[in-house]
Amino acid sequence: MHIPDGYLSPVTDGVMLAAAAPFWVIAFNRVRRTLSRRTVPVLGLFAAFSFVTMMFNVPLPGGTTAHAVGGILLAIVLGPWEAVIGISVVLGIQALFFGDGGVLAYGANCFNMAIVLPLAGYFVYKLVSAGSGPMSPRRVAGAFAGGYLGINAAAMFTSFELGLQPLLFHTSQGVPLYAPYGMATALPAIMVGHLLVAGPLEGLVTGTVVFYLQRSGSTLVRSGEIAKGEGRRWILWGGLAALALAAPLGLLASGTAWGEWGNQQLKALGLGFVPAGLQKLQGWWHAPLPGYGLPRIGAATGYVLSAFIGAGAVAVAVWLVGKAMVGKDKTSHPPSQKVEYSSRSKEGFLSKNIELLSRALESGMMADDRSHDGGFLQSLDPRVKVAGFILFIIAAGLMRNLALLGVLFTVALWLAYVSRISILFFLRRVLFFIPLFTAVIAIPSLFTTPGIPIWHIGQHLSVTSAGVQSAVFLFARVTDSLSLGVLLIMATPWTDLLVSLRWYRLPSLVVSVVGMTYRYIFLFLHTANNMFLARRSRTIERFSGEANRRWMGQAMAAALTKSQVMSEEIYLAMLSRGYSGEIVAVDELRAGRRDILCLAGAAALTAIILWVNYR
Amino acid sequence: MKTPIFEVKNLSYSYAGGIPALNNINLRVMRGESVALVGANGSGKSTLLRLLDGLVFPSEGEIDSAGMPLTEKALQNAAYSREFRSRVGLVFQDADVQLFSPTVWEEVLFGPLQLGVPRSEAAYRATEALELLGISHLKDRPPFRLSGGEKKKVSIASVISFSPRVLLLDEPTNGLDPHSQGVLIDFLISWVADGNTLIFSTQELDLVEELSSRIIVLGMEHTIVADGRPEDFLSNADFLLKTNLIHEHAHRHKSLVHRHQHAHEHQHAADEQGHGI
Repeated sequence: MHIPDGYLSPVTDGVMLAAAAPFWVIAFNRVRRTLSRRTVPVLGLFAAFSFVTMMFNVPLPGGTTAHAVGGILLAIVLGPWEAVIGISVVLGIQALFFGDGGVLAYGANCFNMAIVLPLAGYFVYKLVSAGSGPMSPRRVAGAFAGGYLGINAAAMFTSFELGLQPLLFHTSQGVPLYAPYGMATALPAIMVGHLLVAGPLEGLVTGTVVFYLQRSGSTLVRSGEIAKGEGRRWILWGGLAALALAAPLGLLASGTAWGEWGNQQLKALGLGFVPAGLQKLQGWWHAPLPGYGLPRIGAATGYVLSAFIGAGAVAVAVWLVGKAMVGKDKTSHPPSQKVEYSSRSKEGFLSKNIELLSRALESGMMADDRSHDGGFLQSLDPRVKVAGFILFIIAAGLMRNLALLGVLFTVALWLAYVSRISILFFLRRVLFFIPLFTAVIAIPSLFTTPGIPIWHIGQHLSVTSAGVQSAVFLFARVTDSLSLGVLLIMATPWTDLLVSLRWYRLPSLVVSVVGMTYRYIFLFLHTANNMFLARRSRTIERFSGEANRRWMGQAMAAALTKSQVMSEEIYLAMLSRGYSGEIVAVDELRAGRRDILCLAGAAALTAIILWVNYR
Repeated sequence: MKTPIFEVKNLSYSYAGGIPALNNINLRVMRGESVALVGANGSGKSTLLRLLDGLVFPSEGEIDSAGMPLTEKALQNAAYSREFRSRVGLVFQDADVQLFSPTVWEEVLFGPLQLGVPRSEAAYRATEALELLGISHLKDRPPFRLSGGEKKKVSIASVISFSPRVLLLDEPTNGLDPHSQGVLIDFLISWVADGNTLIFSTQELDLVEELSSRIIVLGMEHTIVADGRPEDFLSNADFLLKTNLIHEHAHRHKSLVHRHQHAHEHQHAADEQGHGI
């Protein structure tokens, strides 16, 4: 569900950031009140826990594995607002330090996964478990339902944001500039997977962990009686959330009744290729289901059906490409950019987890080494780098000219070269997953974008010039933004990034939480890796998927309890050395004339590129 | 009479849930003493150190430090809290708990900066602490790139850097290789020789012999079962056995199998003479 840069217009990114802001303010103030001086260690440890468990692959029935988000779990054990901050921190670290999810799209990703997901999930949990005791099975049921619905609410918002792009942002010829699929495709494409796979998994993980926490008598579930008044307040929140959900739909359906969108509107939403295929489909369905009057199904139902099929085709394509790539080149696969639902591995889920975790550890060390190499970018003040790169990424988002996107990519390559980053390594890291994934995503848009046909395949399909343009745009934009982001990470020690974040007026409390989270991610990666290795060393026969799932649930509950204990220990260790609620920062940045010149250069280049584009 | 560094009177402590950790503890520590806290696992050593550092507070009884009662309320006073925290430093047993900052340098600076030491002075002290432990080259490392021994040294440096006069160490030599242990012991001996106070918990009786002028033994009932000069207790095998500090077991010397206690360097020397090897 992590949206990379290039899929959303910078305008959407801005709107989503603005939408997330008030939630952050509320969460921030509440957390400071409830956790007071423990805010940094508690949020830091629990965020690190979430980061690491987000990497765990859980075996699913049918032999595949998938990973859960764990955000609803965080909301249940820590509280919804604590989860908002905790997940925002995790997403920030994923975007800034691991290149997972866009930098500009951070607001949108946070809105979906750090705000909608825990709040909606927690709301459902409260509804189901209201009035139950801490050991009640209803709490487990609530956790399952919260996990299931929370992640689906988040997925729905993601599909709204993506689905709105072609409607709102296209060229005068109707070529979509960002994500190419309209609501009618994006919604089912994203929701099917979440309703059928990711949702049940999230529910299962959340429910299982809560169950084991209850069994071990953890204070994490023992506390937190649900007051009656609180229930009412949550209903109010639920109502607001439902309104928010309905708004974008209403916008789209304006003037027409639900489910009766005509052909024109659907065309406007960016879908144009189905009629022929759909007619065939109707004929095909006619035989097995004669009594249902399928020939008369409305256009909308038909479109949704076809969108399902389209989504399935894309999923299969991604799966095939992913399988081929992983088979070929195991080592260069960046750890954070993983296939969400990857295929069955020969050695089972333990090996897969061990490999994922050790790769993350290695990449952390490598990034640490590389960022200290003495190249051009490494020598610049980190604040200048952050500002410069964000300018470039915004430019990449705003450009409407392919040649200029090419220029920007050349600039990125040149910067890598003068910063002593191996171009081959850089290209592999940048091009490997997300742009490839994007290319696969973009293929159907070659056919679906209305425009002048330039190439016919069979009788009913034709590639349109607008389709080609739109696909190339998406690919180029994603590649540009990603390479800029990766370059920034590669050339900057993450502690410098932290210091510059503080300088850019991010509250020092947040920066401290981010710092502590990052630090303990590595400890937890080690611990988790050892845990899986120990499990493997004791494994003679293969365990059943069911036994492995149970074991994972227990292990996660134990790790969660350990995070709690450890956060208290760290708090004491801080207290012992004079901590009194505010961390005094070590700021040792000094920008010289050269830094300022470089920043001016970056700003000038951005301005020139945009001027050439829009003059 | 001089004021004791710590005066503990009738102290008892129970964890949440009523599980006892310490029972009716009375002790007095004077300036310049080097006190070894020994006792089996779970006898309450770590808890006593945390009580002495004002991190947790007694369920019953009281602690005075330098003549002032050490209570939760007293520590809420910013001036007192700063004075006490600057004077007393605790090195935790688990270095991963103690090292929470992004880099070694920030870790070592954390104490002095929190305690209000001016920046330039703090940087000077941090540099000195790193040099003292021979780890200046680790300055820019993140904690996850340190070995176990390096972590331990950094956690000691992170406390030394704010120049406390009283050092509380929880299992300081745990997990250190023999060379690093030697370096650390030399450092602590000279530190105590400068007139500072040291209280450390340990399982290693060798360390007690080398470093301490006084030994306090906590028994399985969470009470003090012995308090005195190390040489008076370390030679008493029955006593050590009873307090689970040594373990009787059989092992092999060349072709000869014999049975004895496990703190036994002297005995082996005697054995060897006796057997004429």
